[in-house]
Amino acid sequence: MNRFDISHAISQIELRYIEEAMEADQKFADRKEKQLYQLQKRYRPAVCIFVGFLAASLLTITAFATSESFRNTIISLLYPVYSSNEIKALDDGHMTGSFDEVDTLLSFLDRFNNEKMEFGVLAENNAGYAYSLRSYSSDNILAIVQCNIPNYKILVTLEKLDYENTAGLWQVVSYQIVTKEEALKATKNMPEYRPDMSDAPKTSKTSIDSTDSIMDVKGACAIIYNAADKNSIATLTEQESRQIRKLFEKYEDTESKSITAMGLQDLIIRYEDIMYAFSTEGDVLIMDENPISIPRAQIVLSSEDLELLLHIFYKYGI
Amino acid sequence: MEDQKIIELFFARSEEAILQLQIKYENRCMRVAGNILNNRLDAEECVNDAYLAAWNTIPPQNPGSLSAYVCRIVRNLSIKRYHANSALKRNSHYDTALDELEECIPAGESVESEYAAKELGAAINSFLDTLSKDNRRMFVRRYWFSDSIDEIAAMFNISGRNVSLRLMRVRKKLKKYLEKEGIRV
Repeated sequence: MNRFDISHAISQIELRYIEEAMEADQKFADRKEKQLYQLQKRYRPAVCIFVGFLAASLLTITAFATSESFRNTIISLLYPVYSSNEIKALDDGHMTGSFDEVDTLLSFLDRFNNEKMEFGVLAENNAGYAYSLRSYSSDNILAIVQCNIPNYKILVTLEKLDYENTAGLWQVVSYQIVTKEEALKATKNMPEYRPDMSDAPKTSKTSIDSTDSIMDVKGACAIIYNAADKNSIATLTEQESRQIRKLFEKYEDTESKSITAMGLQDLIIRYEDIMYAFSTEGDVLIMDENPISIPRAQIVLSSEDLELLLHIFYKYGI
Repeated sequence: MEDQKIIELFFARSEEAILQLQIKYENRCMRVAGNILNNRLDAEECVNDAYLAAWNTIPPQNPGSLSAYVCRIVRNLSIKRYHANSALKRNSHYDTALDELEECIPAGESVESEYAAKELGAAINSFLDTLSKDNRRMFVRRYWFSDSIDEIAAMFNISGRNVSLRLMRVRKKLKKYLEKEGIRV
């Protein structure tokens, strides 16, 4: 039997069988449709959530990139410590006192960094902390300290407490992480702090505008030396002595470069001489000597240091 | 549109009938023709000829199942085209189906071919009655519609291997049945 006859025979299959076989096809189509529907039904919520999430992400990213206020809000939410206005009071166990306000502040900043008091926040220390002191009175200082988070500052509050027969003991009582704007707002119209403000005028004769100024330290030292007679020496307080010593120590890295350039090592020697004179009341061993013969040199001073020197100059009428 | 309404359109000699028939059954008809001819252009031609044949035969015919009726016309036209083309190539699903069937049809001698085909057709119809519904559907899908094993497997939601096995058993049964019926073709 040839293939033609076989196909002819198969063609004679009754319509009812063909119709029956078509049902299988129809059922298959229905099943496929149902499966597709179930698939859609199952994944529709997930797809909707995904699309919503995608849209929200895109909107957030766009807003984050374009709007500064939105960006700050998000950062505030993620890192609340940076924008929190909460003042962190130091408990008694963390308070350490010193007769020197700067010393107190620097000690606190050392501990702030070492103990990681605020997660992710450190006082910036590039060969020294960058800070500025503001105050309305002689027993309260607000220090604005540069920190490692851009556009944020650490506000440190120092208070002078009465202590026995001394001028007072400085302590850090609180600190606060604030934005640069908040720091400016908090210290607006607050004058720069100067030691012993109650005795000194509220404003200095010399205003300090720049962060760093060039000061002839050697010259300044010599002026102090020359101007210091027995009476004025007697009025130099212990605090002032320490401040000057610290100032010299701070710049001790500066070495003499030539015979015409004086380094801090030379200044320290001169300082020791001065201190010797201060400490040996009535002894004029070196008082008549003229240190101006020492070559002049220029050293870069920070604004705070320059201000300290100027204050001392002013106080002693130099 | 319901089959009955389409038939009514045929009876009313409305050309809308052809359009509706095409909308509803074109895919199915193309599949039947495509399985046999393995050529889209030939299949389209056969399907269009089938629409014309349906137009010419309804009325007087009033088929109970319009889809089966049209598919049968398509199949017959496709087989005609297939045999016309068969000298050139043999690569369709239909070839495979015919090869499988050839093995189970008992060989006879000196019998009129046309008569033998009719007798065989009747025997196959009565054999189909003895099969289970699923086996019968598979048999018809495979040898009338010339669907591939994979298509049938997907249709019945079983594996292709399972389909092949069941069809092989059906063919063996058919061979025995035909021998028992004394059919020698």
